Amino acid sequence: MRLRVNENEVIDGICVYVANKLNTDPEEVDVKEIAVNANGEIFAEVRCFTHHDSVDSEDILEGIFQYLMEYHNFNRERMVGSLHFNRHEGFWADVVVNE
Amino acid sequence: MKKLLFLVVALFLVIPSLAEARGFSGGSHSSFHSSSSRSFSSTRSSSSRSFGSSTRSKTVSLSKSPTSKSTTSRSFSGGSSTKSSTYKSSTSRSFSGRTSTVTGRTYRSTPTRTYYNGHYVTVSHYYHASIWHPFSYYNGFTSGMFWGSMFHPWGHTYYMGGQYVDYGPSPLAWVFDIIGLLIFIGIIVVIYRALHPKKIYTRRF
Repeated sequence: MRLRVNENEVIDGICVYVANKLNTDPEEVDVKEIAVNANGEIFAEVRCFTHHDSVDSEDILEGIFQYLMEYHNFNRERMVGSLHFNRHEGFWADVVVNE
Repeated sequence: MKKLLFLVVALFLVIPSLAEARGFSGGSHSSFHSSSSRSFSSTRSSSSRSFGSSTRSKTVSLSKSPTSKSTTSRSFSGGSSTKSSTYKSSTSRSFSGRTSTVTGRTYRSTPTRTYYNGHYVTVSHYYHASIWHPFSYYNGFTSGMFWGSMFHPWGHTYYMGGQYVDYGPSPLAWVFDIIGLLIFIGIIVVIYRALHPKKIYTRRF
């Protein structure tokens, strides 16, 4: 099954990743910005209470996988995916699950 | 960007080996001129206080030719009263420690006048530099010489043959120092941009 994860779910994935890392709830995590640099690398700045963190493309993709596993019961071990960006559609991810 | 960074760093490493870096291409010598106000010979006949007229120890020490503290430590050629008051060290008596043939243009520093051993002496330094050899003024392009030539009062001091030689500041060296500084700043900018790429799109919440 191929999933197209939109920008909101990408943000959710970032929140889940940081929450699992800091052992807190995803609702406590605020994503301040998500950006792409000249090299094509995507990264995000997050804040959780007083803790500031930065996550790169790999961490964002891992967060998306964790979000799909925890909230949609997909099998984490059988997920592969990639993160994308363009100016028209913004940020999104293509994830292949259960295949 | 990374390819450009690699090219710049490789160029920066290769250029010093390509440059001839002949350094100081040619010897230098200083000329000593004693001023007429306090010469050796002119006072011999009239005053018993002058250096040249006395047979005391002062004369002896002077006839041994006062060794200057500069690098071209050759003695005065004259101490006799019959000679004129102006003494010049002839070419054969000048510093002959040349290690290579002279190339480029010969520059002369601003003459320095100082009081030494009872009379005034004027010292001029001569050095050679060529625009076709950018590093010929320095024996290699070291950061110490680079920074020194721009700001430090001793910057134009150059170590050679166990002594420090002062050739004086060179406008040619300033030009190449500024060019080198701009290249150095450019390298820093390239490295910074390679390590911190610019954001092309940002979405804030």
